[in-house]
Amino acid sequence: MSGPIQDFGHGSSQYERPTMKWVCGWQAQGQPCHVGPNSRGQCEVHRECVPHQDGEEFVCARPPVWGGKCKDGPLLDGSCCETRVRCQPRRNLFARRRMAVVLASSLAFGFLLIMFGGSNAEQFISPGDLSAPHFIAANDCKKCHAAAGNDLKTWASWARRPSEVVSRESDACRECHKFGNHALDPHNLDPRLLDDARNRLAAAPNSRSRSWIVALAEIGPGIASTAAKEELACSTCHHEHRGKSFNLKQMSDQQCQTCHVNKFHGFDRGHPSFTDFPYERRVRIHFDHSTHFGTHFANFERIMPHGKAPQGYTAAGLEKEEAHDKLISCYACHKPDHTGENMLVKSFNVMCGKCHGPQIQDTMMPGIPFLALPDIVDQMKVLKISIGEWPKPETPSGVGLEDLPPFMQLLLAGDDEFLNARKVLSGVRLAELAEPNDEQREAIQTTVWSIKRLIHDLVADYDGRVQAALNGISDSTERTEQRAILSGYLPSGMSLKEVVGKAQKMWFPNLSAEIAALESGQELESTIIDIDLQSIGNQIEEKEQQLKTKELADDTLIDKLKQLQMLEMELKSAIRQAADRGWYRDDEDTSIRYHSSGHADPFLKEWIDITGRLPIVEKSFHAHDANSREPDIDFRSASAVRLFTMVADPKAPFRCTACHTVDRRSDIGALVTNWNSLKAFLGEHKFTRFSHAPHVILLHSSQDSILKKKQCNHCHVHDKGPYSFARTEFVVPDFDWHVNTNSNQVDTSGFAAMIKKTCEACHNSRQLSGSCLECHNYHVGTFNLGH
Amino acid sequence: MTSIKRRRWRNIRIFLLLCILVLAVHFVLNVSMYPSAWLSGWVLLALILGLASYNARKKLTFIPLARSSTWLQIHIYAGLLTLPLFLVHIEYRPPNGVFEVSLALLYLSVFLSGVFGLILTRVIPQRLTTRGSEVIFERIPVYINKLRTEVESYVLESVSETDTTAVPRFYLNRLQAFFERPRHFWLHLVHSNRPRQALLTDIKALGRYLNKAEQERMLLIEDRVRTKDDLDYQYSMQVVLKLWLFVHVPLTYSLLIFAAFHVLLVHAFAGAIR
Repeated sequence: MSGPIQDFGHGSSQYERPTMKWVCGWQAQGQPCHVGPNSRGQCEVHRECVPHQDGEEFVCARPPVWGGKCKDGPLLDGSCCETRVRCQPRRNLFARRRMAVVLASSLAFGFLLIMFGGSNAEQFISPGDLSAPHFIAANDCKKCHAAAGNDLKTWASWARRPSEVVSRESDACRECHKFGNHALDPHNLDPRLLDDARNRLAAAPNSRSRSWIVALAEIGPGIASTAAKEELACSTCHHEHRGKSFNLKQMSDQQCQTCHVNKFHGFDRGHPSFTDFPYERRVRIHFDHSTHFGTHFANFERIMPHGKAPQGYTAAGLEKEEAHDKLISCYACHKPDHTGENMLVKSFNVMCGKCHGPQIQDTMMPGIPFLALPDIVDQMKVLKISIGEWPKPETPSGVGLEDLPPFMQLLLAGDDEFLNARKVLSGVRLAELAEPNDEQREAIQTTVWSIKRLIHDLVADYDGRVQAALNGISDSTERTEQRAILSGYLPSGMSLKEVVGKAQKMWFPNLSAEIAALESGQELESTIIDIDLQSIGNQIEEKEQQLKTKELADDTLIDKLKQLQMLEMELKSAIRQAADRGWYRDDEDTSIRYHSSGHADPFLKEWIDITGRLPIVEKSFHAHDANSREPDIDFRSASAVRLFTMVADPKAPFRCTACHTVDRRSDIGALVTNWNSLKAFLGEHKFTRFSHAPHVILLHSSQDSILKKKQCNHCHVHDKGPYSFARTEFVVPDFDWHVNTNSNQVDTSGFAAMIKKTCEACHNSRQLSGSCLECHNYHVGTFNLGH
Repeated sequence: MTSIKRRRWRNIRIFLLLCILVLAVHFVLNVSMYPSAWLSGWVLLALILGLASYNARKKLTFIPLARSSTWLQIHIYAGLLTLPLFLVHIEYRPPNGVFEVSLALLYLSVFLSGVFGLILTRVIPQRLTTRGSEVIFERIPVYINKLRTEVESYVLESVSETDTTAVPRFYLNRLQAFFERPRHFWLHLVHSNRPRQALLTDIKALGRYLNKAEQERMLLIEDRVRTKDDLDYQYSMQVVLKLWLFVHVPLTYSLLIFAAFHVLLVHAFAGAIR
């Protein structure tokens, strides 16, 4: 170029005002005026200048930058001679940019208002697809969001209440995911439990070796500082709207670590050693693997009735190797559940029946007493009581007025006269009572007549009397079938009602007349009834004939005596069998007893359950120590406690609680008998989960011969001993040997404790994942997942 | 090292440190289960509002709020910092949903236009010094008009002096449109000299058919052609320098409106706030 095109001299360079909104419309043609439009965008120039008057002349005032004074000068009237066509002012760049801003903002705002106000607003604002499990709610935002289904104004209102949003949305989660009362507390646990655990762990020595990131996270504003004090919203951990394939449950190990007291770098780098896992509580069925494998399977003589080995096994148990191998294989008793997670036990008949079945059905032991007439025959004359007919037993039962069988006590608990008489006779032993006073005599008579009236009522109105007793301890809305079992109706054999009827005929042949006479005010003299043992004799004869076929060894007299004693026991056993398994009448000691029908006897089971469920039983059952008094409770409750004590006696002939443990559940006020081994309840979630299936498959398919041979023993190593046959975890060997109801005891069931090293062999940072969620659950408790 | 370079290195170091801090804080907050998206969102919004206020600062020159150049530096690095903040805010996942995708696209448009503008403001001014002399953008039409007037007078003089029509014909055919307004916008953007060379070649080719007087006039016209071409180059560069803000600024305000709605929706629908 020949020279600079732009001249900045003050006379040749006009001041540019880029902030002015309007510019002259001629600027695009390169001929802008020197005034420019006004602020309203109007062109005010129609002349080149505004001439000024100098004396009588008018002088052109065009600025030099626009050419200076014109040649012709102003007109005579003082107006400018150079007309100028008005322009159409245009906005300058800044103004246009401002317009663009306004336009863009208006478009954006309008677009959003239209979309948010439209019928598809929620589709528009949705931040993404829901995960696969929640996809069912894809078209219904209201299922989770309190603000959904409303307009913009309502959203604005919700936006001002974020805490309420959080709370409502967590409630929405809980509509389907029922985690119980502590759903929003960490691990769904009572915060007090967590506080205890936290304090305990903080006090115990541990490595507390953690990554620096976790250390920083601890001091930050995150969950570590608030979880202890506040509930946690579901959305704290679970983030939705991230696509169908997003894993809602994903969480890093470091995130788990921020809350926990014990911190470490990995499963094989600092994870606490196993202490009691998985034996934190004792087994539900008292079974000790080490004693069975180490002793019982080779020692049938000691434990089996008559010292006989179970069918299919020799007495030594070892001679038949195939049977022995079959016996000691884990799969002989265990089978996986349908998920493969847990190893369940097979049925009693399959596992235990061959040995323990005969033990339970051991008819050499007498049945439990339902009703027993007290021994008062010898004291009748001494006491000078008027009680009408009273049978004389062949063998004194040893039952006093003060220690009637618990069933009988329960039936008499509704008899006020009996209770008042009992109060009078409290602490009095009939056998030691030489000179009763009138009150005591009256009380003894009342007690005896209460017993006779009981038998009369059981014959005349069995169901009414029994139901009245049951109503006192059980819910009247329970199933009819259960009530029938509790009332003594059995699927086969004689019912209790029938047995009582026969007993009444045998022991109190004129009971109805006596009761009628008593009620009319007559006093009845005491009469001793000799029980007709003829029918019993016939039975014995019959049995004798059967047993005569047995050859008695021609040995010494002592041997013969022993054999006769054995024969007598067999006869008595035969009598009980002849009288049908179940309810039977024992005329020898004037009692009505119940003999277990075998394993899973329904009558015994229902009575153990129903009495165990009573809060008073839970509270009172061996709640005191041996040196203190029994708790002061009413007679009915005390009867229920004694009844439970009797049926749940591990020494009882049927031996229910010798194997089935009883747990004291103070939270629900009940003693719960575990009829089954561990059951994986649907919806039960524990802190630690373990699935047997993949591990068993791994062992089966392992190339390592030792591992393959070991199988289950790889993890479940038999305890070497010493063996204990009376485990205090299950039985309290005090003065009366009763069940231990404390379930929170470590019991390995005869195995050595599991060690973390076993798991570390595979679960380490080098091989398989050792992440927290692989083995641990966050949500614990029993709940469904909303499926 | 010049003070500008020193300043630049210092600012880059501070920026990198801030980026690392943002990523580290996000990571730690993520581990501690703190709703980091909530925090990063508010920080991001505050940053964007601060960035948008630069426009106001430029207008409120009377308020002593540090120099505009300082504001610009802060604007640049704060703008760059919004990217890592944005990435941690969306947790490195592409957004789903119509609204969120729109919001993300808006942000990216603003960010990229800002980066583009930053590059332009570093490249174009230097380029502007390579050709012609610097001229005020608003005056370019005036100078074009002046050049056009001069060339037209040369053409008329040529006709009156020589009584031939070669020059006027050439002007009408090739130069009238050229001198009418700024030309070859896109070619100047890519630094192309082809139109200029084409015109000059044509002028040179015509010279063989002109007499001496016409040739003298053509020389003057040729000079004006070069000047006009330089002006066109200046115009192209300056238009780009000014027009990129027509993208960046309006999009920023649209982004702010979308962000406001986003805040409303997050607070109304999301339970991520304890």
